[in-house]
Amino acid sequence: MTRKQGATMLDYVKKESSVHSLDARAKLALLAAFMLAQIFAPLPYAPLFFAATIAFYALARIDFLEVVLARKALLLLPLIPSLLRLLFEKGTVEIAGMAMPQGILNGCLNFVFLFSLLYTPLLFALTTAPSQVSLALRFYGMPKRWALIFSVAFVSVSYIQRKAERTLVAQRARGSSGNALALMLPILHSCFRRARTMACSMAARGFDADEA
Amino acid sequence: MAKKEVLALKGLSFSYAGKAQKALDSVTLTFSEGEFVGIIGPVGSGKTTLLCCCNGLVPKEIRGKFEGRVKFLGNDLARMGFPEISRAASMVFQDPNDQIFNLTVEEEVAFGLLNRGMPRDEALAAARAAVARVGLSEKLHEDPSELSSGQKQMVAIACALAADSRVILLDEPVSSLDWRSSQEVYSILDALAREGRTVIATEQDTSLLSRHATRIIVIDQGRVAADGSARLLTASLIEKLGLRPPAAVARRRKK
Repeated sequence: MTRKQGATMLDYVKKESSVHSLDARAKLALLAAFMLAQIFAPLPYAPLFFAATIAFYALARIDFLEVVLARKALLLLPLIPSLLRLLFEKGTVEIAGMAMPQGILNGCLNFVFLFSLLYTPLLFALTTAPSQVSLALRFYGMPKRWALIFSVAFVSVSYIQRKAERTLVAQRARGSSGNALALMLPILHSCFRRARTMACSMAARGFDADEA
Repeated sequence: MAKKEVLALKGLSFSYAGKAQKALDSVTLTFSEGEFVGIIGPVGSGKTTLLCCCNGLVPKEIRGKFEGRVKFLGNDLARMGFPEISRAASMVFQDPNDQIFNLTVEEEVAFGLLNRGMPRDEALAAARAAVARVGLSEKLHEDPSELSSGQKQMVAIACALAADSRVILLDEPVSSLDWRSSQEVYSILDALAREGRTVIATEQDTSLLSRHATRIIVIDQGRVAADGSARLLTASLIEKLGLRPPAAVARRRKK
């Protein structure tokens, strides 16, 4: 496998590690259990889950910091609700005899909670080949059609990102300073065209969506 | 001895949804086993549409106003499902980027076989053999989207080879390949035709087709303008269609 690490949002990064070699079905079950535990555990436990997430990345021999830096835009997802909590939650809490604004504490904990909630499934995507994802989803009863959609979606994220980069370069070469519409239209057009032709190619290779 | 008729197109007319102009107009053709057919014509003449009719993509996937019948070994394609059709005819699309979505070359090539319900081990073994035939064995476990355009096209051709179908349809298969790779592809296609498979390829560049195809069909504005041996590629016809002439015709013209 030759994809560069951190090259695109959901790229599978092939490495020799215990996380990579774990069966996709077992990995998916563990992921679901871990995420449920995260969701239902009280917020003060969030740092523990965060530490566990970092430990999983280390086990997978994937540089966590590199993954985060290569996907900076993802940080907005935990950041925005946490900031809202930080700014608008009222009251104080006492920690080790010191009074602390509740908004700051809960905002920080909320960020840590959402951060690890986001990066744990990302680790699953980074360490599991799309075909294995598809097989695991089917094992847990997902219809073939939906499992394949997930698998194709995983690969398509990389395609869209690369297409966006190429389009941006082409627009800049023609003097554009980054008009969002000029970027989005060719990407959308390309995605629809690719989806159409891919559907034809899959049908021509015997994939029957109605049967799946 | 007359060769067995494999594919028969009768009175095919097709216009794409929302378009009044006919992409194909009353096309009647038959293809026999072991034939290497080259379809030439200018851009937008209906070559790709004709190929898509041969494996049922038109009108099953690509909608529009369709008339006529396509029969494979006497069976109506309209009554066959895609898994069944894929055993009969496999297709190589013009742009391999539009069909590649698996993470390894091996899985990409095995995709069609797995759709037929072939056991995974057997499908992967057949995929490996097809990949070896196009000379990409060392890329078997690599990500196909990371390969060069030519190698991607070879992967798409390997998908068709692995399918082991009676008819192989190729839409401008060497448009993204260099001269050496184009020669290799056509050598493979020659061998497939010798094995008794029906090879139908569209091209804009007539040079390779005129040397390899046993029969040339010229499509212009959705109609069959000519059908015969490569000798029908006369200078006047090629000029009329706006195509690049094969070397032999170009030489004759110079004289």
